[in-house]
Amino acid sequence: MNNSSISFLTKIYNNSQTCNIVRHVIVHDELYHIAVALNSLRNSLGPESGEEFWRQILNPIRRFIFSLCSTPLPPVTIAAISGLDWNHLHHHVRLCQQTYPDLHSSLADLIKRLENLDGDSPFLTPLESLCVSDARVSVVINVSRMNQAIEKYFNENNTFKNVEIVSARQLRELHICDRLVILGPCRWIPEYIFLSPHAQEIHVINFNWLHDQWKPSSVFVSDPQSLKNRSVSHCIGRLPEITNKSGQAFCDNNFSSLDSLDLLPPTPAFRKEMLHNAGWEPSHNEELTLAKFCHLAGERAVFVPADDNAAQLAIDLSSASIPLIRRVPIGALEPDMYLLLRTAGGGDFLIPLANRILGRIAKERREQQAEWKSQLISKAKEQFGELSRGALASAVSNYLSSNALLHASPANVFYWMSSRSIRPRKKEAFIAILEYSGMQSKSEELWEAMEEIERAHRSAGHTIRKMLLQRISTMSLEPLKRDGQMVFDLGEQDGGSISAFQIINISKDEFDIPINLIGTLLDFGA
Amino acid sequence: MSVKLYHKYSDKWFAVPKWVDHFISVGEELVLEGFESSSRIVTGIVVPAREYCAALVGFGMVVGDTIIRDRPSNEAHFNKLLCLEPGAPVVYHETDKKIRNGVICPPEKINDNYFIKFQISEPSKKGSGIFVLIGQEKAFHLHPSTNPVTLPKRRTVKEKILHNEFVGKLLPGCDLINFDIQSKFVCAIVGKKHILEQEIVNTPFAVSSDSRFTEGTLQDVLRVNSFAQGVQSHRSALLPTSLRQQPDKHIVEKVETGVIFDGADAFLRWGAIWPNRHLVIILDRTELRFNDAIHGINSIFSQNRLDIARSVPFSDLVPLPGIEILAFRERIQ
Repeated sequence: MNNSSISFLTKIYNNSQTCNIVRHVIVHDELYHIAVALNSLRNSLGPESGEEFWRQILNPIRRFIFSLCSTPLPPVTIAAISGLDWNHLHHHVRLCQQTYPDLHSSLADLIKRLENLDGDSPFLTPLESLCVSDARVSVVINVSRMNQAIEKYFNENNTFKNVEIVSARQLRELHICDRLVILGPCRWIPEYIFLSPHAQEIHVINFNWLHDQWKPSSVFVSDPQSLKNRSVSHCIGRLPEITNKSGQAFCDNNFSSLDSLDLLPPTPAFRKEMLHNAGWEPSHNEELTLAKFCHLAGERAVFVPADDNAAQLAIDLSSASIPLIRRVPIGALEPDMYLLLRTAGGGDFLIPLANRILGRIAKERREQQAEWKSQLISKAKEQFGELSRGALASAVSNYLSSNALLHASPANVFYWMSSRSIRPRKKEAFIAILEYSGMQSKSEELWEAMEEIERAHRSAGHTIRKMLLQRISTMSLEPLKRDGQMVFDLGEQDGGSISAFQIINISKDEFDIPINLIGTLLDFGA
Repeated sequence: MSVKLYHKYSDKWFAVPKWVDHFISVGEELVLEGFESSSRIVTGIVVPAREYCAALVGFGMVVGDTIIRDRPSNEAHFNKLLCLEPGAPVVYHETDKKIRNGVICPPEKINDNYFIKFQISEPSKKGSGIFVLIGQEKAFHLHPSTNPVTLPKRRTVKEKILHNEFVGKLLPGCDLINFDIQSKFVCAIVGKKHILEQEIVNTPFAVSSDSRFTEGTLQDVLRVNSFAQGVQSHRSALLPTSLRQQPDKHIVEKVETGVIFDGADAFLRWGAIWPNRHLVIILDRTELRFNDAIHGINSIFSQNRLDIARSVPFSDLVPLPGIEILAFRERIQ
């Protein structure tokens, strides 16, 4: 975000000149044994750890252990926020006895150890020692889902009352402090936090058994001979130095260290089971559409239509000179934008509002919208047989192109067939599609009807945007940048609550998804 | 650049920090380096914060170019004045603060030396204008003017200044008229337009003389084509990263010195369209495609580097904390 002044940027350059990294070592033998047990179980399973049975039990455990190693909350609180279901885990342990008897005792022991964890977080003592002065202290939290609970926990404790919780994102914008504290190994957070320092001191608190040999290094390759004869110039300014807090050694001889990358939580990827968790029941006549998997902050995900014409309402904080809330074409969505999703009621928030704007004619117009799509699909089936929706779209696209009726990609035809699209953008494309479907006599009437729906959708978008802007103008968006998500309550009359979620990643692959699941929030952390 | 720049903070002016001068000098050094037909210089710079860096490197290039090319010798400037048609408007810098308009007269030869003669518009006691003779050594006090002739009334100093005062003080001794009227692309900057506009057009800078601050912006020197107003001439081009179609060939071909890429996206998108101009790629680690851009620069270094001893600038540059610079020559195919 470029609203940095020369003086703010100078602080960053000055920090680069003086900032050093101090490592603090903490001890927690039980957590070490748990981490070793998890790794040993995963190693025994090998590729089998990817099977659904093991995913269902290992993924929540891995997320829980990662949180324990990077969050200053008591284990019990972390388990509650993570939604860890001990009954579900015990059920899996019982199933394991039947299906994987060799591994049953290892799994049962791991779950028992986890369940027995209690007391305070080992991060608190060193953190306390860093908060005694008047220095402005910020803590980087890696599990955004925990932020609010940590904030509450800090507020209830006098020592931590003034400690700020920050996200990695805030540390590449305007947040600046005297002392920055990292919980867990350096490799769990982006390098820029150390190399574009927004603090005068950086403290890393990590377990004595969690291997962390990260150190700043040059990024460009070089060649000693070329440097010698000065045909190449390669200069590196001062990089932060890493020191251990006096009297603390990294690795205790009693422990063999674990690789910090082995304890990272699982990377979210699309699995059919997620749809079941979202309440999807397979049926024969459901409508499918092509979609991209969009990984959101807070261990959430959503499917967005994989269509050039589709757009999604999003908050873009990248610059003050572009609209804060706008409809962004799917292809232009980027990590760090915030998708706006209806979290109360689920699904698309525009359709109900658009129908309200259409008023009495809404039903008739929606029927007309469904009619031309149904005709298009029937005609395609009649001509090409009972194929999948994707294959039908491809066949229609080829037919239209080869007969010089219309040049439309299979993806476009696929989207036009779906109930999510209103009409093709260009009138000639719509007329060609209706002609193909045997509805040419109704083309003008249907074009006008679809125009009305389109106008209602645009108006609904403007209304939502306006209401959101009104809400946002009265509130700080720092919680959105910190937590990666924020709820905007627009009132029940005006569309309920809408949430913004930070985009972490959008898949390049496209998936066939039941159309009603587009825009539905999936929670793979719970 | 010998003149110190100032930036504004809480409504007060402060000398710009070292890092600002550092990036201006990177641009200046590249201009001084000039060109060899078979190679160009590729410079990758990793910084803790990327804001303003590309604009400042471009600023340095234009300043360097102006100092080299718009500072003709006394002799060349004198000869240029000799060629002016009688009646041509001129502006006479009698002192730093006293500027007069006039019209050129036929030159005079005194003791085998030519003198430029001109009549200043202020009437003399006798009713005719004052005639002034200047020799070659004072030729830079007189410049051709683009303004229509004869402004007979005495005017305040402020009114008489024809050029941008900020630029005049920043580039003393340069041919400001030429700078004012000549359009060219010393450099191109590739980046996000709205961000560069904020840095180049909307951020105030100043120069100081006699305890007085003269305010301006980087745009006064950079003269980015996209931000130029009306018939204002330009000295640099802007190519938005988001541009969907191929950039204007006319602009691409006319860039004289170098191209500055503001960020990984800019370099990865348009890095290949200037095969024979110096490249400066500014990267910061917060960028999502930082590693891809680093990989791109390292690949050029490994595959297409030209090793000629003592052939790159910046060898003596002391990098600022947190900054990494790699500069090398790339073979031009």
